[in-house]
Amino acid sequence: MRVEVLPIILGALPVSAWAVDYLSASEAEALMFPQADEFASANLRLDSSQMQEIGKRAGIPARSEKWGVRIARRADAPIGYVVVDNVIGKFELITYAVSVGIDGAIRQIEILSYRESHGGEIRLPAWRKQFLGKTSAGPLRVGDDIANISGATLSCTHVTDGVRRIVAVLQVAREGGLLS
Amino acid sequence: MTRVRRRAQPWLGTLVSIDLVVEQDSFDSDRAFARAFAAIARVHESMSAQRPASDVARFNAACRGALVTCDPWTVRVLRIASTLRAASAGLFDVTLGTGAIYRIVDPRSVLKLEGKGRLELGGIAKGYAVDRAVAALRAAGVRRGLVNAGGDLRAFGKGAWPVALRGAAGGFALERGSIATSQYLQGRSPHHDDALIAPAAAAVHRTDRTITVAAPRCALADAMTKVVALTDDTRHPLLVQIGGQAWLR
Repeated sequence: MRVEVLPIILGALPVSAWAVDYLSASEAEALMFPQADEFASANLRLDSSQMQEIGKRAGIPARSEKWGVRIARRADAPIGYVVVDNVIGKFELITYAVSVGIDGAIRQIEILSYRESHGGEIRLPAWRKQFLGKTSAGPLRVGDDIANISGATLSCTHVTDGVRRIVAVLQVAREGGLLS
Repeated sequence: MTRVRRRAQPWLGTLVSIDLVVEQDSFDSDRAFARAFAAIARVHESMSAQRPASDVARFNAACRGALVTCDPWTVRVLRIASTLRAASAGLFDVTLGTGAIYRIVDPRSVLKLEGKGRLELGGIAKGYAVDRAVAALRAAGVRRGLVNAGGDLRAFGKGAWPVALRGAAGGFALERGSIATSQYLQGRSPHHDDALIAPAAAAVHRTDRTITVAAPRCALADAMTKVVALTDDTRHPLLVQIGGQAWLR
């Protein structure tokens, strides 16, 4: 193990936000349903009773009457669904994708991007410069894209709530014949 | 060409991100990611107290004298916890202060000694999951990478990684090792989020503070943040013994 402390630079300006992108929506759906030969888009529009039913099943409000769903198909038959959603936490905006099988069971959850919304949390530019000056990272310029943060644990409650909501949206939509 | 591939999924109540350094474009990083996240999922499913079917939940619900069948990884974590508890004079404690409540019978089962005994592995399971994910990545042929479970992270392979500290202007350059950070807020005992029960002698701190520990293995870094939090001792003998370092802010 080798660990080197990089001291605080006085007068460093805080950055207002930083972001990490993991996957695009299309990369995520291909990863989630590698056996699919086609993806189709469905734009759901829920009525008020459906919204209520979703709130009841998920235990949280349906939030929106409009939902975009990608339907994974193989040989013209649906094999599952992918929904991309955003959740806002205390410090962060998270875009994630959830895939649900035709049986209604969650298959996979992937974070697509993560954005820190609060400024001043990490004073990145000065710190980054310091790191690059002190180490030889080789051909890999890790300092360009810092995502390695140790600190107070981020909660993913918003993501798990969001996933529960999406499962309910898909259930209700299927029962209502919106996803055939 | 050298490039970084990264992926993140929600597990263990937080976000787990994995960065891989890939030297050949043809390298099957999807397979490596899948194996690493499967290891994280296995820890989540066996050690989360909130999951009714987990080893921990079944142990907590069991009565005195029950033999609880566990994932071998859970038994491994309990073994590490027992060692740390003995070596830290009880400062690191996964039994919520309920004492000697388990006996490891074999690599797959644990005997419950006390009906009211409760386990909470929140103070070590995340770090252990990171260690397991690193092992899975290595087994899949990854030579260099970083796994971060909500701030408990481990870097492996040649080359330093920059690690920023939330809320601070400084940071660390880390090579082949782990860093874990715990934050404690004013007026709360140091175990509010880790369910670590402080012995009566341990102080309830009156200032906001952050403890960062570096150690070769992430499970140890994770666990040692609690010991340092309870003692204010960044040169605690146990820390020295495991080859770790600590910083208090």
